[in-house]
Amino acid sequence: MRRLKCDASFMLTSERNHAVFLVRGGFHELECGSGFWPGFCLPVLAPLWAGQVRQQIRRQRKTNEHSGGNEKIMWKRNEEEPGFLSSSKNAAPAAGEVSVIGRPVTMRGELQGEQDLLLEGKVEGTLRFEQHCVTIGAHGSMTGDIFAREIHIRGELQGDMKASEQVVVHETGNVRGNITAPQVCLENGAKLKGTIDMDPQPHLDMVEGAMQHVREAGEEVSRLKTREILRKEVQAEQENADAVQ
Amino acid sequence: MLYSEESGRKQPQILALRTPPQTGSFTSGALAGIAAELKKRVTKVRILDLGACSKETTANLGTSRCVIAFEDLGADPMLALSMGDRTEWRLADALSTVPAPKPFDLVLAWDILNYLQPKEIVELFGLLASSISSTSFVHLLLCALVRYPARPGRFEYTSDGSVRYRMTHQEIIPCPRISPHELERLLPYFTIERLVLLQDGYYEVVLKLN
Repeated sequence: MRRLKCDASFMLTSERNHAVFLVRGGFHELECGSGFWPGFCLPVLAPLWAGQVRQQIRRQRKTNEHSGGNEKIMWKRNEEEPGFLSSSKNAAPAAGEVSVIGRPVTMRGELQGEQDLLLEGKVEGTLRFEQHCVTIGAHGSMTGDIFAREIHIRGELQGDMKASEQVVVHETGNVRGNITAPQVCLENGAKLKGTIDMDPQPHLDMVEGAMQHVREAGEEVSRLKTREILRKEVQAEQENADAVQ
Repeated sequence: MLYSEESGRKQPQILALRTPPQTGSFTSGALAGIAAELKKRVTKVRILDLGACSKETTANLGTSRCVIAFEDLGADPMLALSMGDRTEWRLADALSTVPAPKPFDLVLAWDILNYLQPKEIVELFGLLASSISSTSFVHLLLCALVRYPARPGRFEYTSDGSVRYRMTHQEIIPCPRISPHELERLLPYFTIERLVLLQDGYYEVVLKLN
């Protein structure tokens, strides 16, 4: 049996005269005559696949219209559809289970949550959403540190950010603080005053520290050697002097 | 060769330009060399950019093991004032990442020195001297033209190894040009390693700590 992997959402298996097309959302089975496979299957397969993609786009458009309408079409990673790739890596997460702090709200203190957070109000303190996504909206402002899986900044932030996946500072974002994340995206026009550290793992700092220790140890050894040589020279001179006397 | 209107002396044609173009790019030989040198380093590379944050610079100059600090001095509201009006401006208050706990390996000061008073340049490089080491590089881009925009432009290091710039202000003011001799006088802790005239009236300077 031949098995061809065409892309993440589209898989095809075939024998000589029998083909099964696994297309996302269902599968299509076709009987093919001997020697008929390449010339027949590809023209059949391509429209089927294209039809599935068109249907998905239509479904997504309808979803967007229901959820407010002005968003671009965005492929959302879905656990039920493994391998269906996101086409917009830096897009903010789609509306779903999101806690929202609205524009008139001002909060002080530490906030923790087990859900994504959209901040359109004002927070002074710390946000701890280690497993989730925090978005500072265009009207939101935050003074303090953020710890999250993913952080999107469209408003203002004065404080540090630490994300386990990525930080995106959007065009309207204004950050004064330090960013620590394995992936950082700065859109054109984004304002940042602070540092970006994309390798938060301490191993290289440890290497650096170890190298410093080695250097210091080497210097100490050379100092001791010099001292020993000098001591021996002095001792030899004294012995010579004693011998002369 | 053309005659400069101010002095009547012969100047290279590039310096006879009245103002830099609104957009453009040039290749910096020094930067390519510095980038290659930094990529060889085993330890985490630390870069300080005194200009606006740029994803191009971050992506192309930084490595996955680097720390990049952006200061964006050009956006500081005090810089909008004329030089005579900013008597109280202390650069130390404007900088959030300097002095740094660990020395920077590369400092980029692009299109900022022409906008600072001599005493501000001395203060800035005094602070930088304590935040770099003897193996660090300081890369400057300065304007050598007669007139220039009222605020610093945006400069980015692109994937093809060139520097792309875009002016953000239309207002044009006289440019206080800094001669190499004056630069040496203003930066007593540094040695000029390289000074090359680039395109569009800009020149690059590479400094090393004494």
